[in-house]
Amino acid sequence: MVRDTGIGRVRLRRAVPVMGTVVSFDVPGSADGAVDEAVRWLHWVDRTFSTYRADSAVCRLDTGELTLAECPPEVAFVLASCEAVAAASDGYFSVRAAGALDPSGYVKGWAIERAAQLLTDAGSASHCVNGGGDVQCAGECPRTGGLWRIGISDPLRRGKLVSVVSGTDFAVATSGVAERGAHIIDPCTGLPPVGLLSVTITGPSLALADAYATAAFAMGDARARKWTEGLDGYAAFGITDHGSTWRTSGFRGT
Amino acid sequence: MRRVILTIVGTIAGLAALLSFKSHEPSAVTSAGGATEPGATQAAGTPKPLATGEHAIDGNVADTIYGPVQVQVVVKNAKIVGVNVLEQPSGTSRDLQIGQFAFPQLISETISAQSANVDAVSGASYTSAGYIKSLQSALDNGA
Repeated sequence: MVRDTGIGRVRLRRAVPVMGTVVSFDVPGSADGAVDEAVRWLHWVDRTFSTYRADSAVCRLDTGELTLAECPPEVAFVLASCEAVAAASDGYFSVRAAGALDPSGYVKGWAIERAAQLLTDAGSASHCVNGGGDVQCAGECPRTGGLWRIGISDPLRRGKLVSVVSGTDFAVATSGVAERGAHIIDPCTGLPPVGLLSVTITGPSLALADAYATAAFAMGDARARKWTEGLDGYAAFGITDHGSTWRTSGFRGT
Repeated sequence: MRRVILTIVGTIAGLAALLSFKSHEPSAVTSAGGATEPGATQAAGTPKPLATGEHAIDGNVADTIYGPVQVQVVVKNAKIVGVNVLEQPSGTSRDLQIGQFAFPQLISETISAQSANVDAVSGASYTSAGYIKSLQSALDNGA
C-alpha cells in the first residue's frame, strides 16, 4: 500500500510471497520498479538454492548431477561463505547439519541483504526489507527522520514484542523455535539445541547476522552467550526457555 | 487517513478469517446439530455504544469455508480503540466456544501491534501462511 509519511515523502509497502515466506518491502514510492527487480532476484535465489525443489542447482549438486563449476557462480560464493561461518562457529553452523546439503541458514539473509542492495543501487536512499523475520535496513528511517525501530517478537506470546532495536544501515536476524518446529539442530549431537527459545543478532550485514543467529541457536544457551560476546561488529540478544533474557555488551535494545 | 483505516479493517477481517479457519476441526463439523446449518452465521453480539469522539468503520465481509466473518473497528483520534466482531461462523457449539475465546485474543493483539511503533519485526522464520498472523503483516497493511 501507499502511505504519506506526513513529511512530504510518499512511502510504499509491498509484501511478496517468495522463498517459502513473505518478504516485506518498505521503500520510497519512486522505488516501485526496483522492488520488481529485487523480487525477480529473490525468485531466482529460490529456484537456485531451494532444498525443496529437486531441480534446484543445490539439490542437483548434492546428488552429483551437477558439479560446482556447472552451478551458477553464486553457489560457490555461498558455499565458501558458509565454510567461513562454520570455521568461525566451531562447526555449529553447518551446511550439512541434517545430512543433505542445505545452505539455507546463510542463503536467506544473504538474499535479503542483496535485495536491499539492489534497491540502493537503483537510487533508494532509505528502505527496509524483511524476509520472514530477518530484516535489513538501509539509510535513515523516513518515519522517525533518524533511526529505524525493529521489534523483536516474543516467542512465548504471539503478537507481542520483547525488545526494540534501533539503528541506521543495520540488520536484525532471529533464529528460534518457530511455527516450523525445531528446524535447527545441533550438528554435533544431531538433536535440537537446548536452553534457548530464540537468539537475535544485530550488525551491518544480514547474511552474517542470519548465519550467526543460526549458529548461536544451535549452540544452546551457555555456549551461545559466550560465543556471541566475542563476535566483531555484531551483538546478540537471547531468550532462554525459562523466559529470561540476556544480551551481549554491544547490544543496544530497549 | 480513511484509506489507511479501511486497510486495517480488511486486515483484521483477514486475520479473523484465518483464525476461525484454524479453530475448526473435523470433529467439530460432524458434531453439528440443531437448527443451524454449518456455514450459517449469526450476529456475534451488539457492539457497545460509541463514546464521544469515536467512530466505527465496518470491514468487508471475509468469506471463509465455514461462513462469513466481518469485524468493525472503533477509531478515536486516528487510533484504533476497539474492535467488534459483527459476524462470525456459528455452525456448531464448538464454533461459538472457540470463537468467543479466539476473537478477543486477536483484538488485544491488534491494539498492541499498533502501539509498538516499530518499522518491522524480527522473529523466528514464519512461513507464508504464518505471515498472515504476524505483526509484520499488520505493519505492511498500515497499522
